[in-house]
Amino acid sequence: MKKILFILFLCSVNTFAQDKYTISGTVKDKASGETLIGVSIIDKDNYQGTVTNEYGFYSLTLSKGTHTIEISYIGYNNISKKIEINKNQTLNFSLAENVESLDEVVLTSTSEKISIQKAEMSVNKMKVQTIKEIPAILGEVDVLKSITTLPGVTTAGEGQSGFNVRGGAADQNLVLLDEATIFNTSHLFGFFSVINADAIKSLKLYKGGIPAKYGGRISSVLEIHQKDGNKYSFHGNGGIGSISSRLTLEGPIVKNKVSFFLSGRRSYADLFFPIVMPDNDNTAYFYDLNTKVNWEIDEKNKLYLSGYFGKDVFSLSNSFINNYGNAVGNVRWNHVFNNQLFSNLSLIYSKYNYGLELDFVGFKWNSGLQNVNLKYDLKQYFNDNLSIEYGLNTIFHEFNPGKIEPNRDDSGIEEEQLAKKYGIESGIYIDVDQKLSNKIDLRYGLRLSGFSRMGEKNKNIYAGSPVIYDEDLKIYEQATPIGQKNYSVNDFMKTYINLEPRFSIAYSLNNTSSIKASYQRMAQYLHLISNTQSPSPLDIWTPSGEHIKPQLSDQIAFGYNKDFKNNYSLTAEVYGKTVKNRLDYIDGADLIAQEAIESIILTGESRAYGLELLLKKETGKITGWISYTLSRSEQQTKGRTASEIGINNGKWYATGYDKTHDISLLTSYKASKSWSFNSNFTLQTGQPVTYPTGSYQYLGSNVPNYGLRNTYRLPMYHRLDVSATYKPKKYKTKQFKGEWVFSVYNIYNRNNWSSVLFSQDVTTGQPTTERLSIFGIIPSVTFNFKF
Amino acid sequence: MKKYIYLLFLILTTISCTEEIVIDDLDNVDPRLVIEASIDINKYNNSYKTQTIKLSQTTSYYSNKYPQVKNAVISVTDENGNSMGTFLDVNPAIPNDEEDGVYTAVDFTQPNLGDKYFLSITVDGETYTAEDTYTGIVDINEINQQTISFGDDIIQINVNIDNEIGVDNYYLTKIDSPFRIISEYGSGNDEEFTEEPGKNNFDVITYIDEELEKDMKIDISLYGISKNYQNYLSKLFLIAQGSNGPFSTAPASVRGNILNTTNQDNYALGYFSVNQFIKTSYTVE
Repeated sequence: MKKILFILFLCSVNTFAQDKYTISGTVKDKASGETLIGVSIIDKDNYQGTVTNEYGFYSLTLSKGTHTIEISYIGYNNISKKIEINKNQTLNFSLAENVESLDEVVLTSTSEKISIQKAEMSVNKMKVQTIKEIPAILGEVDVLKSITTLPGVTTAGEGQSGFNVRGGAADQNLVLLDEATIFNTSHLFGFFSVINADAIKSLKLYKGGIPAKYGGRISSVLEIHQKDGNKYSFHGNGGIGSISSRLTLEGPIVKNKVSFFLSGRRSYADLFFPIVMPDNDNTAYFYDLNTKVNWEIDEKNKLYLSGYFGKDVFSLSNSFINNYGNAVGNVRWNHVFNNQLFSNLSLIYSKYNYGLELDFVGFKWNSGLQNVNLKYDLKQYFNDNLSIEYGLNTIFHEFNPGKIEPNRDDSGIEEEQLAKKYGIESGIYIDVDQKLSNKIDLRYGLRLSGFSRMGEKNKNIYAGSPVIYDEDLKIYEQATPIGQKNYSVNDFMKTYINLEPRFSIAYSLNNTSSIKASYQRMAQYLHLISNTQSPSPLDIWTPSGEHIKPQLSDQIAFGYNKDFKNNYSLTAEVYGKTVKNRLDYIDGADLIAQEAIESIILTGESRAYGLELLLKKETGKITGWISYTLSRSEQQTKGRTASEIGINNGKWYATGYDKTHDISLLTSYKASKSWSFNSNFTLQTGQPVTYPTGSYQYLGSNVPNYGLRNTYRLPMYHRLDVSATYKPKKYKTKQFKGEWVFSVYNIYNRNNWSSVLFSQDVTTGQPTTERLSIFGIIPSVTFNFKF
Repeated sequence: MKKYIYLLFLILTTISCTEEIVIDDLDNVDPRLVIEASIDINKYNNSYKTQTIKLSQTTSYYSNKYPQVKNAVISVTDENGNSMGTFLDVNPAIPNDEEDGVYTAVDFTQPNLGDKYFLSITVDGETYTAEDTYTGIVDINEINQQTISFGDDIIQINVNIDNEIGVDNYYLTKIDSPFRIISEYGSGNDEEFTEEPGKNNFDVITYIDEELEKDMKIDISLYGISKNYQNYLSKLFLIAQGSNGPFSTAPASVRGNILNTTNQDNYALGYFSVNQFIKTSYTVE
């Protein structure tokens, strides 16, 4: 494999032609100066083209002569320009947003053609506008919930945190907000997500064919970019909703040079508590604050400072105080060496903290993690057929598994800091984007990743394995450490190195259709320790080490893409993947304040396969998509020796987020300049669940007796959400624009099953089953404004 | 702690709704022997002489008629193989004793703290064995109450005991209140509490129930149990007291300490334990 890559690389370098010149530059929004990501820049004469990178930069090498260049982007007016190519030059473009065209088709097929030809596959992009139009619970626009309308993306259940991509676990998604990792993506235990849609400009989800640039998670990469801020004039926008209010301010600090962006959102149900209940001393709220400053130093240098701070706070009479949140910040420096070499240097800090205070027990708990990431990425555009990305990064991680301390003097709780863990994660990569012929496009790369577990205090030493097996009773138990050893933080206790090849190929059948294939191997060194259906905010992350090996996944995918004349496009893909070293937990494992995580886990594997169909219509009066996924996601943990039974008797079992069928139908209808209507219909197979296969009596209580895991299913889940947006035509000032969004979630009020509770009536002793449904019909109104 | 989180989750889901339902196919696919052999020795009186061991079978989920297991031969012995008492389904020493799978001994010998005891049960040609260590219990320092507010005022009852210095102890707690027919059980340990002399007392029970009212009399029992038994009970209670939803763990059959020496695969559920206990009552103020 490596040999082939090398040969391909050599061939391409030899084809370097002499009478070619390069144009490069940045594409911006005309009104705001915001850089645009993924804009097509195409030479119309021979359909050669490129797209702008995540900083709006492009580079295109063309032969000497006159070329007609077309710059196109969905929702914007195209620019077509004749250019005389006789020297290397910088050409910046500004695109105007297309607000008028309701009826006409905005997009030419040329830019679509690029994505048909490109080797990139299993990638979904969503425009912020689309995300905002999807009807949401209580009208609260939800960036992460919106991606579950895409094929291959699901969640364990309604109101549950995280998302699952192609049968992968929620901790296997790399969520990057301006390149900084977000560790907890949910507010209110999963009802809402932490990303404020007002603050972002684009979203890109890689489900497969993940470029070598990315590493550290094995299921997906969700790349989100925050807005830079208007460079020309001061603007604001905001909204008043049922759950939260939002306000965004942006504008130039130094015109054309320095701009700022500030966006905040806060839920405010708690502000009404005192009005409804005067004696109330409970509170519950969440907030997000997104900030960014960017400075265009000159044509070749740009500096970005961005930050995100979010928190959830609950307090019940000061006896139960719970707060958790992410904080990230980074500095990035874009430098264009020449019109063929773009670079970005980033220094990124991420933090997640979870705090809990239970006054009636008398303790305070804090856990979390923080890390610093130094990253340098370069992209070199050799010619119109070849570009190479390469770079390296290193992350220093600190994990705090938890600190328990008494919250008052008379508490009997003993202060204890569970030993902090440290690790260094590094990666170096090269990724080649190469067009072999008019028909064949390739993307191949290699990532070399490594993880070193650094020394820690009080490391447990075991006589044998940290998990012991009782041969007679067939149960796994925690081994008792025979001692503890202290290591210095500078010690390398354990190092893992992995080679991660990535490969994608596209073969164009004709101008409107292509077939694609990809293979990827990825390694994940961090693990979210969670044995529940859905991750909870107090789950902790733990690094690989002596007892916990990195998760390794291999995925292959095949795809077919087709553009139809009337602006429909179809993507069909099949995938299969396997994951090695997936953690599973011994029955009854208690993860809370668990000092010896190694003693409650066993290592297994998981696998997933599926078919994804996406039929999309992006332009016209009616837009939207239908997505369908047929899939299977399973996990198995066998015994370590022939005599052990493993977990679930060593049998494969469906993961909690396995959905056989998953259909989404999203439509948007622009009826007039004032009115638009949106709907979202979802139908999916019920969640796998474990029901008791009997019960018995012990200590006077009825005890359910459970059989194998996840062999039952909740009833089918479906619901329809609708919304209508009204934009009044006239406001007194020209600047001010407002819109009303009326939405109804679950319009036919289906009581979808969320879970089943097996318990016993304490007054009659009768065993009972109770179904929990979370969201019934929920109407809401939101007012959004811009100035 | 997950329980608190789940509680909070439920509070948040005020827009959610629950409905009692019946699920059709929860049949008893795999009938198993259930052994409830808790030898509970009262620390302060001679009631230890009467002990019971209950044998039953699993049944389908909604049935609360548990099949009785008759014709078993049961022995409980000490480390030297001496019988501790004679367990009979129909014990002639008890008036009107019925054949009901409850095997009673009226001649049980006082065990010694720290000693190991052994159970052997033969039924339907298969023999089940188990062992446990007799574990003691400290006395209660005091029982007090306070009022906490979760919107409404709720009574909280605290039972304070000493954390013995130099050892980790494991507890089973039982509360009987007039408003429930099933005892409220809990289990815990003192691993996380300070052993610093003078400060080494802690609340082994913090009992919060909105049904608690002034002048209500509740019975409180406290058992000293082995570490393994507490480990078993914590799993059992998690399942018995009903946990499901996004933050519940994957439920599984809970295996106790009973081994089928004839046919390992036909394992029995339940536990054999030898525990010392104290019992007291408290009237809510």
